[in-house]
Amino acid sequence: MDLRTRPMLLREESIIATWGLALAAILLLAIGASAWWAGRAYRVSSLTARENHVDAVGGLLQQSGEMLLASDDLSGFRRLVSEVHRTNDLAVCRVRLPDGGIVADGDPSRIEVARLPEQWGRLTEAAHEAGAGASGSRVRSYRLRVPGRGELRLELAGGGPPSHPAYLVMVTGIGFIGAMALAGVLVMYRRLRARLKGLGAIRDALLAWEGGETARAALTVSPALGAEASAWNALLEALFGARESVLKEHAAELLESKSTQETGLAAAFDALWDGILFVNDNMEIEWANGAAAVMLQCSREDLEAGGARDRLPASAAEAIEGALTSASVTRPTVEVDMGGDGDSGVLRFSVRPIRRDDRTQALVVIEDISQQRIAGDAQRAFLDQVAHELRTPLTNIRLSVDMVIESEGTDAAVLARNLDVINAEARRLEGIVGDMLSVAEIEAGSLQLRVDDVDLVALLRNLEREYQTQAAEREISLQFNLAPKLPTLQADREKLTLVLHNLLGNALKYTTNGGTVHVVVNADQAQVVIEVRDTGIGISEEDADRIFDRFYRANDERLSSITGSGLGLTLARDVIRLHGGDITVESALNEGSVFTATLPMRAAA
Amino acid sequence: MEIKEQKHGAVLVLRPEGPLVREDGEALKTRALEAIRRNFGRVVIDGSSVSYVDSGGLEALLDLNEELATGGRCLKLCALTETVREVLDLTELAPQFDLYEDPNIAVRSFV
Repeated sequence: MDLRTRPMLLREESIIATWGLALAAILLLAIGASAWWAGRAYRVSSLTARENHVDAVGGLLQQSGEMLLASDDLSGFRRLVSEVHRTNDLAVCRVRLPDGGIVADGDPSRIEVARLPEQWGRLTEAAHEAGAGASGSRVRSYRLRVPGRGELRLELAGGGPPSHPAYLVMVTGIGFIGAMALAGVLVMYRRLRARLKGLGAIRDALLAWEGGETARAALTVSPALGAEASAWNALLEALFGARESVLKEHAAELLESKSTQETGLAAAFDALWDGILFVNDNMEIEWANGAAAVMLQCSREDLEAGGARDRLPASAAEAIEGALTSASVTRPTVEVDMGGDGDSGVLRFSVRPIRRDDRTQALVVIEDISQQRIAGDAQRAFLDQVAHELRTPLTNIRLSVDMVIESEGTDAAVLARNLDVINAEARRLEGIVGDMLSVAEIEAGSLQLRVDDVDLVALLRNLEREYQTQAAEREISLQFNLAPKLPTLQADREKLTLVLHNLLGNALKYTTNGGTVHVVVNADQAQVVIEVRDTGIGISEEDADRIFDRFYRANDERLSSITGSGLGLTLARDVIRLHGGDITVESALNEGSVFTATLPMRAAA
Repeated sequence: MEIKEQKHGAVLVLRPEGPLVREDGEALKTRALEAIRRNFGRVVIDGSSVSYVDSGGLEALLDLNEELATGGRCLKLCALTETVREVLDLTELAPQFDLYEDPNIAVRSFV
């Protein structure tokens, strides 16, 4: 990864804040869970105690009631029931006949049977608890036997859930203790924070080191973070110092071992980029320099041991032979394509005969002109493209002017239509020439960025307004999704606007009606990433590799009706690269494209 | 270590990715030597993705340079990261190479 585009390492707060929040959350959860568990335990134990109490009261009431009823003291029995109900805070305390009629109740108004019959039946069901009282507590039943007359059912149920003040006191106490503990943790956290910041920064640096970061500047932490940070920096200093001294020592040894003692004319020839051969009149290679050996792809010894006819391409050998044997002085030049697979390139052999006394030698200079050949081809292609691009609008303008002249300016409709065409084509020409000048400026290295503060949000919102109408006309959904708090960028506002116009204009141009264009902008500490996504016609993998080349337009029939100079993306990439960023494309045919521009927070230039 | 190749006209740009250390240096050397031989030395090494270079990596670069020097050429390095540039300066090896800001400038130097 390029260090220049790598985001700065997070420092200081990254781990501290995380652990601090985690600790506070765990503490809060622990306090809440403790309060809930204590409350539950208290409630269960209260209910159990109450049921035991109800059971004891039921047993006593059963014995006393049987005695009173046996002596036919119904009113005494009713008073006893009422008294028990009142003194024991019972929810239910009543006595029923087997047919359900209430004989006695804690609330006398509910009594349904004024006098007991002479005889009544036995209870049919088991005398146990059944159902629940109005308060939600269980209703327990007891069997009262009245000898010679029948059986009654005594029903008892305890009061509602505990509403004892002790319960509230307990919960409040737990809450208070929890709050105090949390406050204590916060105080501790604040005190430890300064120390932990240093440790957090060191941890980040260690993780960065493990992740492959090796730059000293990126691993160094601020000494203001405490003694640990200073110690870490000292350790780094020692480590890098040791590494550097080893490297220096090793490099010096390497240089010494590779230094050559060769001097003089031969050494000078060997330092030449071009190949030099001396060929005698027997077509033997008498001497070759290093560059010649590289270009002819064999060793100097092999070259010097063999004849020129064996070692050189046939056309070059013929040219040398011709120069050596010709009565007049000829200086032939031959260009030979050496690459069967297109890898090696094109060599130019320039032959200079040297005549001395009765001897003739040939000095052969071999130049690698592969890149010049390609550059020349590209230049010719560029000029062809320029001519083609300029000719089309010029032809349209000329035709429109001809039509206006023919109509002698009398037909207002023809005049208006042709003026529109002339206007549109003149603008197109202006755009092409402007783009070409910008590309030429960038390539010549003369384009200067005017770096200033750029409010990215305002710039993007303006762009959104400008393109919204065009998108609506074609029923394209144009959405801008900007990250909150986008920073102010240090960039060339005019050039950046041009780039965004190119990207967004292309996205709309190549998206069919009813599609979607989505602009997503995100930023971190080091860079801003602008994505322009569309659901357009897409770009094939082959075209995607060349889409940023000058004048390149994809070989797609669907583009025939869409105008474009083929310079917009070239310009966009060059401008972004001038800022120190880059632009990439991901695309699939018929699915759409995503152009991603990455810009550093501060322009490189 | 992954080494990516890209043709810029007749020039081959090799872009090693990751730290150039120990056996990675040897791998780069083998790959570059092979490219130099088949391409008349029109090779550029793009160092934009090399985070660090150790003595093994330096040795590989010097070996390549030596191989090119026999043909009157010099190893062209471009877009070096700050760390690698620091190492070259520190070891005083920087003058041994042709250094360029970016691959395009390095490629144009062959014209």
